[in-house]
Amino acid sequence: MSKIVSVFLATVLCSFALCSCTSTTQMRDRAIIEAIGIDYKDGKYTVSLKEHTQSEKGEEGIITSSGKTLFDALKNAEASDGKQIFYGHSGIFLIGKGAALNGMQSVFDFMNSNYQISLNASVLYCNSDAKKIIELEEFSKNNSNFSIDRIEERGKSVDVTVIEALKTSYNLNGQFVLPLVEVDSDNNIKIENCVVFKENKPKILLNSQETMGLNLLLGNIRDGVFVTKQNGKNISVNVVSQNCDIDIIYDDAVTNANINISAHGNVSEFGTVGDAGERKAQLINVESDVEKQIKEAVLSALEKSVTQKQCDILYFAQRIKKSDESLYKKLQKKSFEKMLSNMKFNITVDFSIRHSGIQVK
Amino acid sequence: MLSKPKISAMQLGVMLTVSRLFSMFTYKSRAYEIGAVTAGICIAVSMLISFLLFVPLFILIGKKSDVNSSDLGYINTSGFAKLFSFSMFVICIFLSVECLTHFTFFMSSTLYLSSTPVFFLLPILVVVVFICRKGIEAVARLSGMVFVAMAFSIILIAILSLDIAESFNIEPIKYDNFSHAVLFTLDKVAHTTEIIPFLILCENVKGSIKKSAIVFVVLTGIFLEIISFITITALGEYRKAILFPFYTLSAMSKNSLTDRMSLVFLVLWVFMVVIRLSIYFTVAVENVNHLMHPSKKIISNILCATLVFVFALFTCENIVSIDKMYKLILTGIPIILLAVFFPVVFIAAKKLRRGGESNE
Repeated sequence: MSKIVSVFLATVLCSFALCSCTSTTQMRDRAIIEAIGIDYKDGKYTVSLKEHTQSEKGEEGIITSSGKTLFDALKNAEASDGKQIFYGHSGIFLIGKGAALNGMQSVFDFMNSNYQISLNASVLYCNSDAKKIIELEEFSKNNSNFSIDRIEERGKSVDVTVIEALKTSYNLNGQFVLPLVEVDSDNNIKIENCVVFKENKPKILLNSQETMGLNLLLGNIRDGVFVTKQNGKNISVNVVSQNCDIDIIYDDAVTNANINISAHGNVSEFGTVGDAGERKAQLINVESDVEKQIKEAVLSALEKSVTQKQCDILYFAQRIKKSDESLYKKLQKKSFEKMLSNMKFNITVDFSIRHSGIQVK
Repeated sequence: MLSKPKISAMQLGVMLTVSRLFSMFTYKSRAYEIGAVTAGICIAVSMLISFLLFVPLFILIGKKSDVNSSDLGYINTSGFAKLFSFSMFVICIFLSVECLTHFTFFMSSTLYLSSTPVFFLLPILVVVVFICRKGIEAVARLSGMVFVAMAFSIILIAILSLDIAESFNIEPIKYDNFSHAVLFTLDKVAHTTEIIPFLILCENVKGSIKKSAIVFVVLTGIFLEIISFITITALGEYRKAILFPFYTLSAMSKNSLTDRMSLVFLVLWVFMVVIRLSIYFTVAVENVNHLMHPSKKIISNILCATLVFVFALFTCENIVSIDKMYKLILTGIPIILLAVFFPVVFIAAKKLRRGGESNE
């Protein structure tokens, strides 16, 4: 008898984990949200919730609602739809330009306070209305298939999850980077560039080359492709690994940041014409060309974000804090931003090809 | 004296470790301006201080076995010992209410929004009373199983969180505020309230009670270090903005088998609550028996369960009361009173009595 009671009581304890089974909401009364679009216009937030639907027509499953605050807008969405909204499966947060310009703090507060939201959902920024993108048929087809981490591995954009956005924003006083979602003239969605935020507002757009540079600096690339031309033929170089060392030499006038990037990869489509000596010379040319491309991409990303907009994307403040206490205290007084605007970047790149693609058959 | 089967020194140490880590799982340290390295040093120091707090008990008990400080109090100073038992009873009921209130607050604020507290209070109390009726050996056995699962989960969550851990969050010691470091250390010592039940439960230990204390201090220190380090390095400043940092870590830790570890965390935490409550509840019941000598021990159980239920019902819906209880624990009064003041008085009484006997 005692054993039966023990098993029963253990089951009672385990039942506390069934937190999703407390209210008996039928599937027809529940709206499972896959993506959340957030816009802000004329003092009002508008949310566009893409509901999971089996219907072929994507637009049928979009709930749109407005409110004075983000929370108000979401509650209104629930009221207008008549269903209980479930955010646990939201894989994408799409932040519209208006909402971002109004400051991301409200969005972060919502993410922070809603226990249903998956911390591993992706956060993206769009340069127009998020509603327009969510309503696109292309988005309906693909939103569950966006592999943003894969895009990041290729260096084409950044992958930022809810927890990363929250964490970086809190740790760096409102500075973080979000991937940019764009729509071309044929209504195709592309995620290629990224936007740097400062004080929780979008500051500068980095193009695809600069995004690649940023990813190289952050060591995100696992499968990035650079294309180089040799003897009139395009050759793909696959960058698979990189490491970045940064050394800061402070000076009141110009602060030098010595950045050393070492990367390696492999090459495909490498010609079989010519003898071994010629091909080796070609490989050296490929390496130096990729080094040049990496240097340009990195320098452009740094000049745009750090020098022009004083966005500390490489955690310079944290680096100085760790290495030089007196300088850190001095900079706090003298304005850290001035140092960023006067920064000079000395970039050295060491790229080596580990696999030449020449196969023995 | 508890007439229950004996448990090993290791079992008692493990049982108290599980109880101690309950607070680390969900409590958020106040916003101390210290980094991961300083926090690590402070935890080590706090564990050393905690161990020193066991010393009066070791001196009091000496080489005797099968006695706890309360029994020795009866032998030496019966009137004062009753005050000790009463204080022990009040503090154990308070710590039980605090534990239950915290559990209910977490459940109703994070998982079961707008639910009634009775939904959580009653089942937990029924389980606790049932386990306590089975004796401390049952609690010790359950603790063993929970400890293994807990150790595995903490290590797994830590490993999975390494992905987002950043070395920038490990700041050099020179930036840390010394007074904050001291307060953080005292905070950790004040939260080691397991010293209180140890005073009573030590009589059940087969073998050296010093070994129990060492096991408790070492295991608690190791896990506190892991949890503190991973929370600071993975979340950085953001940890100060959230209510339950370690729960957040578990919610974002995913692997190839599970999308998030929060469910594992939750089940584990429920069992930790049961163990912590069972420990304090058992000691509270034991002290009622000491004071009132009821004809049936179930009466003490019912009395304690009713008190805990009624007080928890009042406190669990009020976040201010949680804060007040937290602050009261932080003062260190429960530990200083029961683990230092009373044992020292008993030691003095023991010496005086011996002195008197030798004079005769």
